Amino acid sequence: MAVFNIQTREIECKIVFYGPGRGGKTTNLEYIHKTFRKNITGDLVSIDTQGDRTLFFDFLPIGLGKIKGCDVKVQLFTVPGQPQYASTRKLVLKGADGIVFVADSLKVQRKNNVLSLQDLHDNLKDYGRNIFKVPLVLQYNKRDLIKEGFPVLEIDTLEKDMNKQLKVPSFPASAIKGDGVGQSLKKCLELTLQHLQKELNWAG
Amino acid sequence: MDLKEKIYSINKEASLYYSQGMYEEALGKYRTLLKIISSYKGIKNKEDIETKIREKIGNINQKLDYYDSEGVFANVSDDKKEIIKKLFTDIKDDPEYKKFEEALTLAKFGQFSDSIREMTPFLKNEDLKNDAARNIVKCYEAMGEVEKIIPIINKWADKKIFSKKEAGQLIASSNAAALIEPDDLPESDNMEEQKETESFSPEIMEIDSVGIRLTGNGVQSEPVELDVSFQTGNHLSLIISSKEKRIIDNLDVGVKLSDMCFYSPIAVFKSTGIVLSKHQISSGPKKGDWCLDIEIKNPS
Repeated sequence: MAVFNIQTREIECKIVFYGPGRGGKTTNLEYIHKTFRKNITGDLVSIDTQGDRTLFFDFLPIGLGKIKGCDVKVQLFTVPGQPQYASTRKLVLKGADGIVFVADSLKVQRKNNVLSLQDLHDNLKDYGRNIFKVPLVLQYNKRDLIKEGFPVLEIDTLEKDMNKQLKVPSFPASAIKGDGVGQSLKKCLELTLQHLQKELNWAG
Repeated sequence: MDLKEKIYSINKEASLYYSQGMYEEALGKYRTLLKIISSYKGIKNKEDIETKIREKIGNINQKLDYYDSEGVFANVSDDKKEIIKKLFTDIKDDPEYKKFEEALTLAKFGQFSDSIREMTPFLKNEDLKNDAARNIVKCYEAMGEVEKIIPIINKWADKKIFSKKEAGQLIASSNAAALIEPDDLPESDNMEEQKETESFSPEIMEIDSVGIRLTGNGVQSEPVELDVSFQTGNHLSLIISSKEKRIIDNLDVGVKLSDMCFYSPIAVFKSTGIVLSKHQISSGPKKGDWCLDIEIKNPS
């Protein structure tokens, strides 16, 4: 949950990258860490990885500088995607102010995308929150694999599967190349700060 | 798509999934590939290709076994534990309470041994000792070390951290309750507590439900749990729905129940019992159901 320090005019919020295992959440954070150097305020911490799977979470603190006279700090988290890490995933999601849902465009991941979105819905509900009211963007990752001839879902199919009811902003992306990563994050931050403005009136 | 293209395409897909850590998907593709290659005659170096694919399948299976054996939680390094505590502990003001919450956070992230270590000093804190004890017990349960719970609680009782009664309640509320032997219960240190400890006998204890393992044709089944509708001392009345034909048929008058569990609000006991009477209810809302009277024998 966002913390707004009125005296120091500082606001700190939490964005969580959610989605199925091996979908590219950590790759998103790695790209942000590599690319948005001037905004990075700390190290990218991965706790802990088992081979190339996230077991607990990744964490990256960034600063957006002054917005409407307020110093905006953001904590970026990823959750472990594999189904067996449900309890950790739920813990990391707690208090999220905004969510980037990283869906995997590979056809073999179609079911896992939907299950993960359902899992997000259920976990938010357990925290007394409504997925339709949480600042959320969808990212359709691994679009670069189309060119290499791999079986990839059409954007229309992904929209139908994931966004038919939610109707939230969505972005095709290739986290490994960086395409769409900045846009997804930017839009999520925009929605989150707008939402927090309504809740906390931090911008006065 | 000719055979060569098909093989190339499946192999490429399998390699992608493997490189992305999607081992289940890679395994499926390599198996398909092996099946296709094995079913065709006249493929050049067929045996070599099959061997290579089998090696890859073996390699993936090893990885999957490794992930399965690792379990959900892994121990993380000390500096990372500090990060977990910092990021996921909400309390910032009261230093004592913050430390307590940090120990709880470690347990939430599966760092059970560390949580026990950091939680133990709070057993001396009157305000927090009950929560600390409960968390320590939960950590042992999560680590699958239930057998350590009773000795450690008894140790707390010996050190006067908890009274004998409190220790008994802690044991009863843990998973270790199922392991209770009469000798495990802490001995009382005064007459009043002696009385209360004695009430750990099912003869006078309130029992909510019982677990019975049925035997039919000499074969033991899974235990069935039945609610107690009425109790006088060590005599229990159970109502069994008329739909539970298997249970009703197995519980005739005189049948000895050698493997029973008795669930009370504060403890679980293992004991034996005997069916004293059995009759079908002839009127009222439970008409057609069966009423069974059981006498509890001494705890084993």
